[in-house]
Amino acid sequence: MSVNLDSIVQVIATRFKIDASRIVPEASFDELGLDSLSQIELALSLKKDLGISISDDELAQISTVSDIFKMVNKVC
Amino acid sequence: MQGPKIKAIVSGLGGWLPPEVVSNAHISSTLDTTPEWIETRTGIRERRRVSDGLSTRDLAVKAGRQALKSAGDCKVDLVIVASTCPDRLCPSVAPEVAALLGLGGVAAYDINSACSGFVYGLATATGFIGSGVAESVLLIGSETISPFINPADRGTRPIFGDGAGAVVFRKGSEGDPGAIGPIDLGSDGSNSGLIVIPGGGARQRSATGLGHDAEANEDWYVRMDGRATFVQAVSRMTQSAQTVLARANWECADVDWFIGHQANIRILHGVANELGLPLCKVASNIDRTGNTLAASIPILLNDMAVSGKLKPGHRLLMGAFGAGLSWGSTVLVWPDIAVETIA
Repeated sequence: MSVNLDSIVQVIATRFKIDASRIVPEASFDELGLDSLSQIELALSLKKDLGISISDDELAQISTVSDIFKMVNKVC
Repeated sequence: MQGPKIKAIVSGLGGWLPPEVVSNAHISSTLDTTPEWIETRTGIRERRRVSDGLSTRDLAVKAGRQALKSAGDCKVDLVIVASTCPDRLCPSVAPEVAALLGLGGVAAYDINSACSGFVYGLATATGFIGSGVAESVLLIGSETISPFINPADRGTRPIFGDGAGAVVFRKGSEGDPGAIGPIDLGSDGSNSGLIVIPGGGARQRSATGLGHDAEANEDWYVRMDGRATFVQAVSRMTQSAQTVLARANWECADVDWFIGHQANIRILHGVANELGLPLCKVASNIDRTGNTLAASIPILLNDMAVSGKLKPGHRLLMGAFGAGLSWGSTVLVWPDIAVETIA
């Protein structure tokens, strides 16, 4: 199973009420106005919406949208 | 033929906050943080702190007196104080609170289930009333956490506040407004270290020569792994809420207010997201109270009732999570009871 970038962008846009056009692969959490708690919130949404579980250790390595895409496709 | 089940019914409500306000700006003046950082990560703008020697007993008496008045100054058979911050190791504070409230020699004792203490106390009151041992119970959540907070710890100092809230339960029947519905409780002692005050108890005394060499140090303050606690809180509160909703045959859409323990607004929003509950149904006063542990739910109920947001007939989903780890949930339909303004 693989997850495309659009699905991840949609999860981020919905959870954090961010315009999807801003959620480009190179965008960092900081640039999107997200903080360390947002990583946990995103993990919960990825699990709820896409059925993908990411561990806390894996979360700590995430800093850009591209990182999320790579991580999601590594674990699923 | 079996009659209606005996239930604990909410019949009185009170809340009290100590007058000293501690703002985010004040905390930021002595810690490496900013008011904005605190507010965006917790939803807290200010919290209250005891002064002039006020303690858990005094806050409990203030809130308890309001709740008794709200219940029409009825007699109670039992006083339970839920607190994480005992005035001393022994005796429990509830007998003193009962005496100061003029309740004579009624049964009285404390329970400690940290931030879940109010829901655990509610379950205890329900059991006493359901079994016929008591016909009415005064449950008080009272917390004086500020002396247990390390002033140099930016992970805990901005979060916690002092306060007390109280509810009177009376004997009634299933279907009465205010009847406590299904209750779910749980614990996970394998994660007891996530939120802990290590010092002051038997374990520390035993490990330090039966206490003769025990000295006050950082072990006497609250420690919390905020990140791991956040994950556990959202997960446990969500599962527990789903359990009681299913037992009550309620859908999420039936809920008018989610009355969650006021730990962190983002935990509450996280639970709502998991449940599919609109954020407008998340009740909150954490911006002005901080996390008041076992007192947070009755203080919130009182705030909501006083402001008119909470109305008779509203369907409430109540949930808490805290140190232990421990958690609990219940549902009820809010009754028509008198309330007074919080000082």
